[in-house]
Amino acid sequence: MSEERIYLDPTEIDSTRLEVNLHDGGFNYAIADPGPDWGDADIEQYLTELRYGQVPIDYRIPNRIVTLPLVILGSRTTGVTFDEARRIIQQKAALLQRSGGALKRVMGDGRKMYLGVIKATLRMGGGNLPSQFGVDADAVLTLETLPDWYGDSQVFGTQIAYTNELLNPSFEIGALTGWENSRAASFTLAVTRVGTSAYEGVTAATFGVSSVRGLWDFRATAATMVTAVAGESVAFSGYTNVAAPGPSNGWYAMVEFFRADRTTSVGTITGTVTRVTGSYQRVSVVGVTPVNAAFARCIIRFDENAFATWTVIIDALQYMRSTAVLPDYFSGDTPGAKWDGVWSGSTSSTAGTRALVSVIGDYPARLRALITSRNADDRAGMLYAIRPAESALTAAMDYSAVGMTPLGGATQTNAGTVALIQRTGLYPNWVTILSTRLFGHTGNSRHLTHLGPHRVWAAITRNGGAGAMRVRMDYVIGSQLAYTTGREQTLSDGYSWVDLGMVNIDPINIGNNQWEGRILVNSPSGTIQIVRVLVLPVAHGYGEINANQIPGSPADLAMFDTFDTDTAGSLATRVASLGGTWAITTGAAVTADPIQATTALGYCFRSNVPDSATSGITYNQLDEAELAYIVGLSASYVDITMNATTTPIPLSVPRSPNQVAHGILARYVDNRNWLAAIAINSSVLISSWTDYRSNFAIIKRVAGVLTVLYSTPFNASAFSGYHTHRLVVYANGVVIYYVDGVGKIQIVDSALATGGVLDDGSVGLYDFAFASDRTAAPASRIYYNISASTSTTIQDAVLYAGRTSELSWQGFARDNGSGIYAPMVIDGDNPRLPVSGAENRLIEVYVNPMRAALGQTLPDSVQGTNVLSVEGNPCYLFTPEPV
Amino acid sequence: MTIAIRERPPLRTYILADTPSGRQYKWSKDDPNPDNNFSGLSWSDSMPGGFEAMDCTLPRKSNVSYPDMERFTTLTVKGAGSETLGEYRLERAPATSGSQVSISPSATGWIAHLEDDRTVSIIFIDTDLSRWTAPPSARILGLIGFSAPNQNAPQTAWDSVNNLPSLVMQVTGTWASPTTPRCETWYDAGAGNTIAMVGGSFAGGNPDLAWNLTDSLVLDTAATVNEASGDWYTAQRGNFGHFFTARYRYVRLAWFYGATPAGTDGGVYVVNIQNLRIIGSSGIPAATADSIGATGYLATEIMKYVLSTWCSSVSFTDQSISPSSFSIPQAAYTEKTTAAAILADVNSYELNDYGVWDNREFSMYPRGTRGRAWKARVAPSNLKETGPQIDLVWNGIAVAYQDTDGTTRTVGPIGSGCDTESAQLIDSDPENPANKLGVRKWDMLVLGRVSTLQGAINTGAVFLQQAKLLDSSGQATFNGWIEDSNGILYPYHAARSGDTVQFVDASDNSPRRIVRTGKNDETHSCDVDLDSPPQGLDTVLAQLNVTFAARGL
Repeated sequence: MSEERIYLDPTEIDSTRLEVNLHDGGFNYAIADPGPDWGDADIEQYLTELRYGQVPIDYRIPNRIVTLPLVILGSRTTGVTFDEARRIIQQKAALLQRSGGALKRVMGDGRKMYLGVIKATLRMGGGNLPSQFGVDADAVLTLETLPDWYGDSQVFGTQIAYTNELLNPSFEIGALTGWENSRAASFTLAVTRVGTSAYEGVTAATFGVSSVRGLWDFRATAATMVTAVAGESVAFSGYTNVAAPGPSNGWYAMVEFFRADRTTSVGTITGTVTRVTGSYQRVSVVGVTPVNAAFARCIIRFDENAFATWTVIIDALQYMRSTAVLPDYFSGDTPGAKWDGVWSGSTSSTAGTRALVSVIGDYPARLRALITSRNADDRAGMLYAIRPAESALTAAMDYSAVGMTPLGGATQTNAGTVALIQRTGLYPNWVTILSTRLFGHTGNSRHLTHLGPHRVWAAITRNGGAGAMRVRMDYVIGSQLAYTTGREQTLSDGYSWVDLGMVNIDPINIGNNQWEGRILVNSPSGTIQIVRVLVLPVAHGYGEINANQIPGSPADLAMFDTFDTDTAGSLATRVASLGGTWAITTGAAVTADPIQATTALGYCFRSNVPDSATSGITYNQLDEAELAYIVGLSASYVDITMNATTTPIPLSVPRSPNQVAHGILARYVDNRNWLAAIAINSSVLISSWTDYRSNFAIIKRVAGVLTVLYSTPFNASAFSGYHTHRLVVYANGVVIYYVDGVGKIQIVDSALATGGVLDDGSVGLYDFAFASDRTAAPASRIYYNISASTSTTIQDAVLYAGRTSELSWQGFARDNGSGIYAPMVIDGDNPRLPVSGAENRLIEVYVNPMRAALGQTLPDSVQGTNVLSVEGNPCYLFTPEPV
Repeated sequence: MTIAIRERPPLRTYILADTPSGRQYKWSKDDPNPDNNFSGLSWSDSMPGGFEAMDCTLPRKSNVSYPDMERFTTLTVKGAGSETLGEYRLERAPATSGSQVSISPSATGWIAHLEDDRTVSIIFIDTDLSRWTAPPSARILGLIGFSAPNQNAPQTAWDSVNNLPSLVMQVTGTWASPTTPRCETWYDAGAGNTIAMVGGSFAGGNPDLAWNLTDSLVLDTAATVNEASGDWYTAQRGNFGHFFTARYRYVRLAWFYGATPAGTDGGVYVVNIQNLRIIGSSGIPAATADSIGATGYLATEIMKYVLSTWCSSVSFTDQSISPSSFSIPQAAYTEKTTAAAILADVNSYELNDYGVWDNREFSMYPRGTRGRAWKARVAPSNLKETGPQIDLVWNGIAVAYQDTDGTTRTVGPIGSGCDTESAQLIDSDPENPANKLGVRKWDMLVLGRVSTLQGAINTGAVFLQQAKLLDSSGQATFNGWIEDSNGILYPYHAARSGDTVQFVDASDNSPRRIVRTGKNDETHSCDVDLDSPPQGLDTVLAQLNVTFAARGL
């Protein structure tokens, strides 16, 4: 065992700083007697007080005060004189005091431990030793550090990610789709609702045998064979419940491999024969895919040679690739898993991104989790949660809604390729549509069993309906009779992750600990769909991360105009800073008063002369009232992002009935065919709006017919603020409208999709003013920050496609595609990992990146399995002893 | 039996700072940057009002300009699980230098936004007859030029026949050709305000139906542009109501005779206008109406309009604002004021709960209809109660108010001898100590605004309700955690103003309303005021815009 060494600012922590060895063998620095005081006494006293309850309510471990008595001297060996050595330690102490740093302690056995230094003070010795002999034997360096020691970074554990390749693995759709009987002439295979007799859900495949001898296979159809790759480990299992006496020679699981023609067998793997009747038996086989195999067929084979009579229930089938182990059965209905497509008609895989790790130390470790995207698109929102792992399915973090219990007329169904719970025909009263009671899972068909405080999120789609659609989740614990009413949330149109609030689950002393959440909806009309439900613990670490919008790349700019150098005057015929020449096109109700460019003011504006010569402009006249200014009239964009900030000026003019509409145009073809996003005050211009508040709206005009695609009232009058409009239009007809950086709506319109009348077009401004009071002018309108980009990537991301993001105890950072990690704020805890302790409890790290930022509406596309690497520094509160 | 280990919700907090320029920062105790390690965090809320104030200290240098110290930065206090505990806007950030450098951000709730714009002016309904005046001088000169000089200024009077306040327009004497007699009265909505409708009724006028009564919406004081009605005076009694197409600042009523010469010496030609009202151009839906038009508006509809128009930084939804119930007969703000002043005025009829809470959302709803219910015990909560006081007992109340004609009128309990008597102004609760004793413990309030009879009655009735809460007012402190009515533990900071708390071992264990909370992150405690602010009666009087009449003692 060698001597212990102490370093300031070690290179392992910061390679840009000078490392100082405080115990370098007596050349320049040495630790003097009585040796270092690591400040354990204060911490121990504090923990003792905590143990005996003297510290009220909550606590934080106090910082550690480290005292290092030093001997400083010069050395010919190192070439560092006493003065230089003293100056170095003085400068180092000053740097630590100013900017903090680190201390490294190398144990006798070579282990390294570090302390984060917050402050430093250095007291130099007195007397004549320094001046006469070039030695200071009485120097004392005092450091204030964070309380925990931490070790070198290490990988704590690996990610959990499985896929069950089988379709319809538990027959919950009530059909045998994808499965068949090899001897159809002798046996009638059926799907039967067996209720609690099912292993998974409430239905299972059943058949009865009476006086028939031979081999009989329950197997996947040829069409639903699973892809096989030679040399790949595979595992297949299924649950069978055979009534006595059962087949005389027993039954077993097997996989038969075929060439690409699906008919030429290239080999089989076979599991152990079982003959246990009267209860569910899991039959399984694990093996390696043989050469030339392109497909695998899963089979449960029954071997009857006694002409006996018996019945079979088959349920919960699972086939996994690239694994030689057989985890617990799961389908998309299972907590912690999801359907990759439609309910019971697709493969199933692990939901979210999750890792189980073992964490050493005696103090929460400094986490560094690296999340590497395997998605085709960027992710703008993320939730994370950390806890000591729970094995119970009833205490999982991530649930498919179809795995829960629909209520109040809601049903399990699919929308497109997404499995969900749906309730149609909503009405303006609260109706319960989903209970968190798990649907099916014999033995697990029960309520949830989480403990402690949790935050619940749900992926919900609002599909149509007028007025406010509100949801909330009420919950009840144990045997309580009263539900705790949750906080209401109002849904935007489309798909979004909805925060259903906190639940605090107290344990109960008698009986099974359980709780139930009930999701309720209240809407005048429409349909609601619930896809997933997250129950995320907050006690050990929880956070939300949201991406903001970013300006487009200058390289993608199609046009912009800054109005800061040119001459003033009408915008018509003005050459924009980039993108072409402004051109005017007007409707019938518009005066000739043009938008004016300004010099050096950075904006253009339109005066307060009203357009309408008559009163009573109505909805149907809005199309005739537009004043469109188009840049590059001949330009034609497909994927386009159009931006402008608009405001009426002055803010204090009379409000009603002087209406103005101001906004932006995209996909402008001609004055009878265009798309616009506008802010409009009051309701006169569009008679269908009954709210007297101002509105943001998306309107389109096709062949002269105006349609309001979207409108939403907003509280700020159009006269009381600047609003930045951003209209993103994609080739597939998708439109996303942002106001002031917040996504308002995503809609799809066939006229904007390829082949539609508005499938391409130019960009511009929309302006109109109307005043029934001809002597009280409407506001003038200002336009600036006008630009268009052919890039439709306008949202920053917390996880870029194919890139890596880091979630750590210091915060969050993401690689934006250029290899630069930029920080983002965590709305939550800077995460540490609880220690596994003597029981070696696994620690669960859960990360769920979402396509849309939280609170915004954008469907989650199919999510690939991200790669999660959980690393970090183990931490110790007590000074580790050399071993 | 196993002993269940109760995992108490964590108490940790952090602060998000969202600057007006769109950047977001976080201050927390687990931040590796000491600049962001706050201390001394305290925050509060109140009902009415919502989030109230927040203070903390950051170990920062005074000579550095920090980007998260931008004024109007939204500071959101959050708890574990990203639970919003308070939301404020940064107003001050005083710095301290010396041996310890620090900056102490100080923030207030977004309810303060209702006082940012001090140029708010709007008319919803104006029934105040005193605002009808003689024509402006430009018009008087113009009428002279038209040989129709204005004769008399209008007068307000109490029409004892119809028992209504009345505006009296009259012409006297004879007139010779080419002069025709005329009496005009004008209403000025004030700068920036416009009018959508005028209406009223007339009675007791001159029997000669050749007299004319018309109204006009007028652009300017010279009446260069106007939108006039026809003659309403086709009978001695009738209604008139004119919904204008244009929107101008002035309305005039004209009482005139078309023929000349006519009249008799000493003749008095009168028309009495009652139920006269001006409706502003807000367009909000009326709560009540008669055959003429709107007679009143809900406080909640008024506030929706005011917030929409002048308070862009707070939001509301149809769910956050529940409809109030009283139809307010007088809501005209022709002088420049604030949204907060309008809120105080329209809310004084009912004392609804209101506040700006999470996500800067304004909510307003009948008192006590929202909020959580908590349970606590007397000793751990250090409950202090005001206790019963005979001074704060009333079983009847009278209200003196200025009616729309400018006269002071009174309304009181049955048997009070007031101008009007109403059973609504008696508290018949058998638990009222004065009722137990069988004595009259009555008092008189003076309303500080123009009102109608029903407005005064409503104010008196609300006072009787609120006064009963004064006895049970008090203070308490929740340390660490608090239990809800289902026995679920929450952090101390989950309690908010507007919630109720039941002290299960108190002599009076009925739920008490929390009207203010003050939370402290250092001590993990929440101080609450119960049932009534410590100022008690004074606050209730201020909220209702009333004072006690001089008692002559």
